[in-house]
Parts: sequence; C-alpha cells; structure tokens
Amino acid sequence: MSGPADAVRLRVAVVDDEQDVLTFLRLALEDQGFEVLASDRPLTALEQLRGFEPDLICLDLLMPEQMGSSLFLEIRSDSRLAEVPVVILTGLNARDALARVSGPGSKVRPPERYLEKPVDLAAFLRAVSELAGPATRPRR
Amino acid sequence: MKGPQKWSHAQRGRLFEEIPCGIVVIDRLLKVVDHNHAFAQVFGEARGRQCYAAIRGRTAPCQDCPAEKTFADAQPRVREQTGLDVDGRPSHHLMQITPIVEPSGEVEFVAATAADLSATKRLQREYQTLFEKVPCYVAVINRDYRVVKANEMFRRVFGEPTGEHCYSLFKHRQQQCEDCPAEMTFSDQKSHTSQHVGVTLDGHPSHYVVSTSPLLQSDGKTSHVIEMALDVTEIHRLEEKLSQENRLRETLVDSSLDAIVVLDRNRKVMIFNRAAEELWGYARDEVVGHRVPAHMVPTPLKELLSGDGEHCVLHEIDVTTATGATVPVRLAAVRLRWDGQVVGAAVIAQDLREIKQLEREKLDAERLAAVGQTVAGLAHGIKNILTGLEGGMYVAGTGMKKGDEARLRQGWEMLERNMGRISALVKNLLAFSRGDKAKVSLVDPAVVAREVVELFRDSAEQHGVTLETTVPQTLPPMPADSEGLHSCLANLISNALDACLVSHNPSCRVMVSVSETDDVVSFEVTDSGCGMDYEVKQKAFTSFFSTKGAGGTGIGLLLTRKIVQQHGGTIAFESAPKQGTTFRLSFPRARLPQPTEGEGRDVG
Repeated sequence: MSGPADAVRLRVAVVDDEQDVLTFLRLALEDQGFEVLASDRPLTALEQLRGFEPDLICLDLLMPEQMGSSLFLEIRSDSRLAEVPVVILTGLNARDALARVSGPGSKVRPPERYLEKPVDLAAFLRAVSELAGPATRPRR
Repeated sequence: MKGPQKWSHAQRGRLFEEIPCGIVVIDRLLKVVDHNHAFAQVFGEARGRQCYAAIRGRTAPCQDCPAEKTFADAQPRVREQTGLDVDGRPSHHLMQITPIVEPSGEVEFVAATAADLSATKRLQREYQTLFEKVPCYVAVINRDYRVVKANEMFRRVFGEPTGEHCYSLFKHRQQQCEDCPAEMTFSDQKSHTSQHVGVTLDGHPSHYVVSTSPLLQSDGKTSHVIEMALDVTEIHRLEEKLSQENRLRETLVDSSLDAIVVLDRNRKVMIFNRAAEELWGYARDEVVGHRVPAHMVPTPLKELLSGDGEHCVLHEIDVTTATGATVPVRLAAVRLRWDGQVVGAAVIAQDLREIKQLEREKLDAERLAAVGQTVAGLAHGIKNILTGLEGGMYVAGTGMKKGDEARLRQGWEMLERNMGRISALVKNLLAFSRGDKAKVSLVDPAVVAREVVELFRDSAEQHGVTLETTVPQTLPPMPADSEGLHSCLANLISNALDACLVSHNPSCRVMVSVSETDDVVSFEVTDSGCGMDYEVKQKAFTSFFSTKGAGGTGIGLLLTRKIVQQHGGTIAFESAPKQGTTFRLSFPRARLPQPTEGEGRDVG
C-alpha cells in the first residue's frame, strides 16, 4: 500500500538488536506505507535518528537498566527528538525500570506506549497509527 | 651435808647490802648516813651528803619533806618521787619511809626504801601513747554505757567526751543496741568482737569492727569496759565494689554468646559459662573444679597450654562435645598471667554452626538468583525467537500473497533460522540442567588448567594462535567439581581462540594463568583478539546471545557463570574492541563446597 504521489509519507524509526525482528517490523511498516529507518545499533542510533527526523520511534529495551533506557533518555533530552512519541518494545519488564527514570516525579516524559514481545502485529500497527496518524497525509 | 646454820649479824649486813631495792638511812639533819649498793647504783655514793642533794639534785630541802614528818610523828609514809640519777636523768621511785624508833621512843634515823618506778612509768607512758594514737576509736565505758574517756582519734571525730552514751555517739541511737558487746563484757568479763553499722557525723553509714574488753579492778570486778572500734567503712566499700564488679563480670561472662572457659595452671576449670554449657553439652557443676576433659581441648590448644605460646586464634576447628559430636568453632585462647606468673588460660569459642548455616543459605540464595537470571534470560530469548517466527510468517505470508518469491524466501529463511534457534535452545537447556549434578573432589587447580590448555594446543597451532600459560607446578588442592571446572576453562579458552580468529591481529595470543592470593584461587584467560564493544559486553551473559552465528549456541558463558557461582565464585571480564579480552574466575576458598566421597554431591 502506498500513498498518493503528492502525499508525505510518515517516518517511523525502529531500533532493535534482533535482525529478524527488525526485518519483520520494517517490512510490516513499509507495507503500511511508512518510510522506515531500521537500526540494530543502539549506540549509533541517535545520530541516525536525528538525520531521519522520525514521526515515531519504536525502541527495543533489552537491558533497560543499562542500555535501552539510556537511548530512551537521550532521545527525550535531544532538542530535535524530544517531542517524538516513543513506543517501547520489550521482552523484559521494562516498565518498572523506565518508571524510575521517567513519569511522575521526573522531568522525563514517560514512553507513549509499551508493547510486550512477541509483537502482536495488529496491536503494533494500531499503536503506530494512533500515535503517528495515518501513514500518509497530504503535503502542506 | 651441813646442818642448818644460825642467822648471823654479818648475814643481816649482807642482806642490807644485796637486797635489789635501794635503801638509804638519813639522820635528823637529813644527811645520808648509810645506803646500800642498789641505792648507789642509781644515785651514786651519797654518804655524808644531804638527801635532797643526793636524790633530787636540790640545794635546799624539799617542801613537804616526808622524812621530816616521819621524824616528827614516827609514822611510816609512802611517796612517789621523781629524782635525778647519778647521770642526771629523771628517775621515778616509790619511796617508803620508815622511822627507826629508839627504845626511848625518839626517832634518830629514818630509812627510805626506793622501789624503782621508771620502768612502770615508761610502760604507763607507752600504754598511754598506744591508747591515744592507735588508729581506731578507743573509749572507756562505764556501766551506764557512757563514754568516760576517749582516745585522740575518738576525740577528733566525736569531740571531747562529756558523758554521752556510746550508742548515741556511734549510731545516733536513743537507746542501747540490742547486740551490745559492752553489755556482754560487763556480764561475763570476757572480750567480745562484733561488726556494727554506725552513722558518721555527716549522716553516712559507717562500718565498725568493735571489740570490748573488761577493765578489771583489784577486787576482780568490772566497773568499766574498754571498747575499740575499727572503722572498716573503706574496706567495706571496697568489698562491696569488688563484689559488684564480680557480679558484673559474672553477668557479662554468662550472657556472652561465645563460650568462655577459664582454666587454672593445673587445667582445672574455674569458669564455664552458659554458652560453654550449650556448646560442649556439660553442666557447669560437672566441670568446674575438675580437670578439663582431654577431648574438650583441641590439639593446637593443648600445645598452647603445655608450651610457651601466649595466645592463639584458630579460625575454624572442630571441638568434641559431651555426646561425642563435633562442632565447628572459631577459638581464641590466651595465657593468663598475674605478676608475670602463669596462672592459667582463658578460652573463648564461637559456635560457627549458625554462621555456616547462614553462609550456606546465602550461597543457596545466590544460586537461586542465578537460576532466576537464567530463567529471565531464557524468557527473553524465547520471546525474541517467537517474534522472529512471527516475523518469518508475516514476511513469507505477504511474499506469497504478492507473488514476491524473494520475499517468500526471506520469510522462509527467517522461519528456518528461528526454528533452528528453538531446537538449539532446547538442547542447551538439557545440557544446562544436566550440569546440576556435581561431583566435588579435591583437585589441583594448576593440573586442571594444564589439562584444558593441552586440549586446545593443536587447534591453536593450526590457526596460528600462540597459547601461553602461567601456571605453577602445583597449588594447594581445592574442593571442586573437576568436570565443571574443565568446562569453564574450556569455554573461556574456546571463546578466546574464536576472538583471535575473527581479529585482524596477525600475531594473536591467548594466555592462561592460575594463581592464589589471600585464599582466593583465580583463573585468568586473556586474548589479544577482537575484543567486545559495548553492546556485546552488555549481553555477554545473556542467554543464548551469540556473535558467532551458527558456530555459537550462546550458552557457554551462561553455563560457565552457573558453574562458577555453584562454587561460590565470581566471574568478571575486561574487554576493549580490537585489543582483546580478559576473563577472570575467582574462587574464595572459604566459599568452596565441601568435598564429597564416593557418590556425586549436588552443589546446586
């Protein structure tokens, strides 16, 4: 499915260190008409994200206490990315770990959505369209 | 044998001369007409001198001269007199003046016998001094129990006696004491001693030891009692303090959680506290006062007791209880000395059973936590595989729908890969659970290291990797699961070789070393291979994470960590990309499992 030629495609960035997961989500989002940045390198992801200017970021939290949360916090404190909604995809109970660094009592805005792995594709796409809007919108 | 002789005039003359009492004869003019030898010994040759000059060193007759009176009335007289002896020293005498009456009734001469009182006087003075200066309260008490005379110390504290009752002075009482020792002395005329509590002038209790003795009159009756009161308040205070300190010490010793045993020089038990009763299973009465049972004393302590050692600390030693059971204790012993002389020994033993139990529980908890980490890692691994499978199905499904064969193949590969991962995971799980049973025996860590290194010698050579070892000939044996230890080292060396294979370093080295410092056995495997970047390091111990593609199952480090933790050890590593990695396994000896004989023992 692709939008009309004069429409802008929304951009979704996916950061996950599992190649197969990355392939899966990239193809599924592209099928919906999104423009997708897929990164399996959390440490270098920030630079890529700035260049990509995403409308939504999907972030895998493998070890929230050490890595995922730090990328999340970097995104939230980045002048160009801070306002971008974030969906956390996790196989671990990242909610608790992130609750410590964001949410009530913290200046950091919590993630807009948590989704547990294995990813329920329908739920994932629903979340994406709710947060980012339809894949394409008319050019302003 | 001669018969009895007649008493002669000459003998009479000799009696006059030799009687041990000075005799002097004076005429009416008070001139000495004769005297005997004893008199001359004291006053010197005096015949022809005036008596007052000879006896008292005077130049004129004495006032109230007794001799003159006797010359006048022919009555005998007694007079105590102080004269001057031949050397000019005062000399006290009892003068008995006797008239020598002529047949006419006239008194022409008087004789004076002088009994020397100097010794008596001196004695009197000495007793007076003793009475005054003796460092206790001395009072003479009459039958009314009033103090009629008191010594210096008494007067200093209670003032000059003015007829007060002794009980009012000593005890501020209004009436006689119930246990009055003076009363007993008055009634039986014997000495009595008893302890009394009085009150000082400023109202504090004071303690006395009171002795009463009769002062006998010449008729044998007792009109007065002499009472001596020794102030023992300070002694009493010290006794009280000592007793308090003893009670405090006993309480401390008895409430100590550590067993405390004190032996005298002959190894007789003097102190055996409650914790000692519990530890050794003897009642205090069974051992105190007896020689300590030989089996209660561990050998190193026997050596201290019989040798020259001053103290010893045994960090862990088994002692044998009354029932023959052994209990692990930490034991400290010290030789007791008094003024440099050995008087015995004190032994303090801490029952380690509970601590060891806690240590075991802590190890168990750590092992459980390791299991928890493993399960969490597993769950994450499975979720990733499931997502991979789901992704494969989506990609294959959409490929089929679109007739896009490349996409279909991509999806199919994803399915295959994740199926393979599931299968490997199940195999690894089995391997992981098999490792639970460990046979613990005493192994030489150096030998294990050499054996494992030999297994990789050929493979290292083939790939051009230098395999070096820094392993001592031998190390003290450690209780360990030999197979598990082999697996750990093999995993680390295998990882190190793999790191070398993918590195661009042409002269890659792997170094294996074993050492022991401060009771910690350490294995180190260092490579100069590719090293790990941040992300790889973060996931090194994550279940089934592998950078080796199909070559790695991702179980190696997880298994290694499990085995290390089962041995109470720790695993740590340092790594930098392109520089290499060092893995270190540390096994504190105190936390190693106990060796088992025969059948394998579960250390998990």
